[in-house]
Amino acid sequence: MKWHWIRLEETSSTQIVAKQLAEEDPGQHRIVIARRQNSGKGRRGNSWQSPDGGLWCTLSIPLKGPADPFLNLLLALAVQEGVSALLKEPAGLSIKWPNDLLARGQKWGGILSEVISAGNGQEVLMGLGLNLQISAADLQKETEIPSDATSIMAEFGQSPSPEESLESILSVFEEILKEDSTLGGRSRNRLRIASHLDTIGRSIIWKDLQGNIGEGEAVSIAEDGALIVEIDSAGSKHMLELRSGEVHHVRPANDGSMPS
Amino acid sequence: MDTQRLKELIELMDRNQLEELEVVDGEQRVRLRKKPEQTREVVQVAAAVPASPTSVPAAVPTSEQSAVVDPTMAVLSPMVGTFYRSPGPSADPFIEIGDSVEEGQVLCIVEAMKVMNEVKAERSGVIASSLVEDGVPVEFGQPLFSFS
Repeated sequence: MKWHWIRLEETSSTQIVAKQLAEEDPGQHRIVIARRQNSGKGRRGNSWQSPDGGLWCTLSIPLKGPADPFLNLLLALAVQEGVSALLKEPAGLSIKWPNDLLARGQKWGGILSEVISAGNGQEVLMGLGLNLQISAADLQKETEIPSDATSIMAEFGQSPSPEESLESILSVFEEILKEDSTLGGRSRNRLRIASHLDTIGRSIIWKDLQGNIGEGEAVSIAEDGALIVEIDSAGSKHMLELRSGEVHHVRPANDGSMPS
Repeated sequence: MDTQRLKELIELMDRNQLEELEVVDGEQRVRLRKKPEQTREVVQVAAAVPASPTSVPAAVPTSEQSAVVDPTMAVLSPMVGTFYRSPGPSADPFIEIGDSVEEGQVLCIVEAMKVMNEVKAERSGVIASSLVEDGVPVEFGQPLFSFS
């Protein structure tokens, strides 16, 4: 895959730059990467602190068909496997459905995608934020980083560089994208993702947007990436597919935190 | 197009009381048309509603103006997801009722599995009504706004 690279020292947000570029010059596979972002954004406009030592980039990919949320999980899988390959103790990494990257159970990165119309088609802009070479002390200094966030450096004592990590991630990503378009490839990728999903096999609770709280066991993911949950309702079991709403893992008894 | 997909489309028509639905998916095109029949009750069930029947929102009584929207005069949701009227919780909505919009203008976002999908106007016109509350789950093909 031929990527157009845009390397920046500092920017507001690689997502904003990638969006402008896609609108001005659509139809390109493009990577916008910055050493620092001063207004990186998370879901629904939450700010995402992006100091030196992290990987802050946006992959922009023209879509051939309709938007496919499964791409998000494929990128999560590429990060999981690409970064694990560079670590001495890779066992601690996992994925929390649908877009969080965990190191020993704590969030060290995330993916946020947007689908936009550009030119005559649609493009997906996949924003990737990874806390890599950021020490535990530096994480604490950034007041806007949530206190439960971590980094590869903080967890493992060392970390690959952002560029080295991205190279490894892209090589896995291209391989699984190719696989995804082959016969049966989607199912194989689905199983590969499921094997890294910390969410599967757990009791989870979720709050839908009406504020109702549901409870069940995450058992699998669907072909489009939806989380399949088994619910035991008055003794009869049935399955539900979750596509939106916030999902929380139910922690062991000493942490009774509820969705916020 | 497989029978499961067709079944979903028929259910979709039922849910939204559509008389006719045309779907183009790659090289496949299917058009479904219903004979007029007695109106049905519309029951909206959220995408992530848990099991308990008590949590299902009550049926919306059918009335003259309820949910009967001419699809050619409406903006339809491109997917199952969560509807947002603004780019962020503290930001202004993309559009207000009564606004004139241009073709290609962003009207709202539908989020599915942390993918934010911009929904753009496919034509220019004046937005007559907003049919869905902010932050509420929507179905594929559900009308989101209507043009006057």
